[in-house]
Amino acid sequence: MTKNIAISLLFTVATVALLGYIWFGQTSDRLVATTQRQDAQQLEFGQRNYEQYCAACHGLAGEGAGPQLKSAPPLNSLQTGKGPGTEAFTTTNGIQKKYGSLRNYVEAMITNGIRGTAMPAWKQQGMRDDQIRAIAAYVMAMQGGAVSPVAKSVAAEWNATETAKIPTPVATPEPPLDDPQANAGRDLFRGRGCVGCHNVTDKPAVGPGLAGLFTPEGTVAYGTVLPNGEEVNDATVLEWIKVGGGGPGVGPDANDSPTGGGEYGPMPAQAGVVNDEEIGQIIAYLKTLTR
Amino acid sequence: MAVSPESKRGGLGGWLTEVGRSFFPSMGAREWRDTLRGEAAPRPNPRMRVHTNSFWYHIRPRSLPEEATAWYYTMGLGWMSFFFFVLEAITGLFLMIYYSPSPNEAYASMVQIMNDVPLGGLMRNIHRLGAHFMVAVVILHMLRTYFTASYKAPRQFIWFTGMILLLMTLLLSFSGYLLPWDQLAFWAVTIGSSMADAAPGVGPAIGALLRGGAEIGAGALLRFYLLHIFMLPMLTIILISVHYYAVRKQEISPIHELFVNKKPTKRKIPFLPDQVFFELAVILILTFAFIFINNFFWDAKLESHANALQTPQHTKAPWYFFWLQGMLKLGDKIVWGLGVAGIVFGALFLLPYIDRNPSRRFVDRKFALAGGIISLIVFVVVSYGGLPAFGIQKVASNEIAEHYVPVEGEGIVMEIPFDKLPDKRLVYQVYYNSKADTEGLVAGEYGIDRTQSDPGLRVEDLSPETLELLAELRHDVVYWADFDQRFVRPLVTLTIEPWLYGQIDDPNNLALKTAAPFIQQKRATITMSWTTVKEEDGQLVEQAEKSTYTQTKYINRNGIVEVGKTEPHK
Repeated sequence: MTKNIAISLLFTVATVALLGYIWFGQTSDRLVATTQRQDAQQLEFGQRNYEQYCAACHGLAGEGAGPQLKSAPPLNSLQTGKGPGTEAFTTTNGIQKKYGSLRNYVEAMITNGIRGTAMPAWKQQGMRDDQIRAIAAYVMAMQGGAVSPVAKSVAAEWNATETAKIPTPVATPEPPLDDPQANAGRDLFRGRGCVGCHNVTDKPAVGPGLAGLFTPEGTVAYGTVLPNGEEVNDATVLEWIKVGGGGPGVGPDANDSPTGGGEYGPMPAQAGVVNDEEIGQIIAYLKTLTR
Repeated sequence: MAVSPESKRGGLGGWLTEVGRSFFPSMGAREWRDTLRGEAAPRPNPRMRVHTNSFWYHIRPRSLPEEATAWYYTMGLGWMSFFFFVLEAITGLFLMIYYSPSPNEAYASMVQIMNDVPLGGLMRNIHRLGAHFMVAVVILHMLRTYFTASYKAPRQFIWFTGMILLLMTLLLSFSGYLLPWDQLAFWAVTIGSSMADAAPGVGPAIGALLRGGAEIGAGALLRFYLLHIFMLPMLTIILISVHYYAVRKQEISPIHELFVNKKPTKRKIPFLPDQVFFELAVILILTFAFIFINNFFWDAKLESHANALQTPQHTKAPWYFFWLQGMLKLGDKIVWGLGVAGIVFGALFLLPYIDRNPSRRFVDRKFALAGGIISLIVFVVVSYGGLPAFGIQKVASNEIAEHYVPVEGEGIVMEIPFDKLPDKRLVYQVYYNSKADTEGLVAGEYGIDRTQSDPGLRVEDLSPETLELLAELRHDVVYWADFDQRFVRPLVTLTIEPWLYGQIDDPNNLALKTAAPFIQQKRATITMSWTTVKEEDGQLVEQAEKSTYTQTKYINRNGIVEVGKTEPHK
């Protein structure tokens, strides 16, 4: 029995000593190591999510302008860069004061989107907080030219492959349309990326087919109203193209909704892509589309 | 100040004496002192009195026959089950402070426990390994009870409550499995609840009750959490009390009944002090050993966040359900999953009533002993069959991709230390003509693709680990092409290239102050293209078009931290 008492005392001391060693000796090192691993895993996770959700517009290496010239700003120089809808994170405008850190700014942009542009509010689209944090971590990792030249060339190849997958406009030379405005509108429709989401036939793609938009029967998907319920006329269509309805239909389910439109929400704002006069030309082109 | 008239001292001293006596109502302080000093007890033995007067001591027996304490008999497995239950309760209590049972917060709270809470990682590891040990010990306890025929009359009820406790243990483990809310947890429980759904009649209702909805989500997590921290522990404590009460009443089944000529032992070990200090010593040894193992030799992994839209490659149930997964591979899930499993459990429950042989002796139980050993072997074999490596159709492209650059987990490319991977772009191609007459790879059809690799890349600069990796790739392409009839003439390309640089030199770079301090990344891609084959009239016919598959993994410097080490994988 005394043997057992001695053993008990010995192992009590040993346990306390071991716990003390773990607490004071190893703990901070181990916490650092585990935190580093979590950060690395978060970075990898962020990269996968970036490739799925963001690369289509911002480019695989954050160089901006993904396939079909979606005109999204580059993300690898947020300190100083300016693009449509981006504001430099400096002390001269109020942004640093408002957000505190660049990372907070990036997370806020991803979560809430930017009104009036094509940047969707990803939280509303259903993205989880940990995904948003992971993507923000990856975006932060891209800063200051941290992307290697190899990555940039890979991104360019990826861009080209993705562009090739999107149905391209008709390649054979077509006769010009009678109306010069409509002709200009057709070039804009193809060149500014509308064709990336809309077909000029009935067939839905990411967005609904636009055939018959200005006819009495309307389109197949929505008839004579826009998705926001308003009747189709010059003014409402202008407003719709400028301001949009929410966000771009990117993502794997983009073609699955019953109306044929993006599962991720209706049309993004194109105010940064086309100005009012150009929208007028596009409307003139749309008026030539019949079913 | 109540001073009893018998006390010989008045005033403060007398009061102190009285207070001191109230601490030792059954045994005086002097008797306690003698006990601790190991002196023999006087007769009649006053130390037995605590077992009738004290609440805690009344739970344990006054003395144990020597044969009941032999380690090779019971091996203390029942006692150890309770030890692990208490261990889980204590570590669980600690974890409860930081854990949050909502799908939005569960994973983040796990990360916080592992990273930020002091000793949080240790508590979580102990809790997890302790759960595995508890299930194992409970099963071993059941086996011991079976082989020593301790379930026979008059102990049938003990066996019955013990079987219920086994179920409780499995349910506790299963309900806790979901709580980390990572891919492993989510999908293992999805399989489990779909098995519950498969039961005829009441199945979907049980499934809905467990999940609180159509799928595993917030409702399931909360219900599993409540089951895990309240409902099941409460039932378990009640059942343990009933179980041990019956054990105490019937006493530990005597060992001499197992043999033909053995005489019962007369010697008794008194509980106080011998058994008390023995158990105390074992508790402390086990606690120390467990903390030691958990800190230096084991690490509970946390996979990535639960994602209902993405099923991981090789989903597997916890190890104590492998037998069920194995049985489900044999045939119809209702017949095997419910029918056979139900029969097995039913037989186990009713064992004392099925086994009509009143004798406990080994010589009289040859059939039961043989049956027990055979059942054990079958159990192990069926459990092995439940592993994902076995009996599941393997697709070569998937297997190669998941081995080298898996979505979940590290994969062998990432396991190579970061600095040993090439830091210039390496594109390595392997082409294998699986339909040719010659065996193996043909020289000239595999190697570094110089047109796509970095011009400055030299073979001498490649580390031995990289060369080993490339050799393994060559071997795997041949192996999988020979294994999978549909992986015809594959061309497999492994690309490892630098992706993000570490920017440490510029102190003025504002981005670095807010970004992670030292980021370096490489990207590993496996691209496979092979001839498509289609089945026509039972024959595999080669088609003109090629199938392709690509999988990418981003490799970070600190992605792996080895257990017990505090430095990242160098």
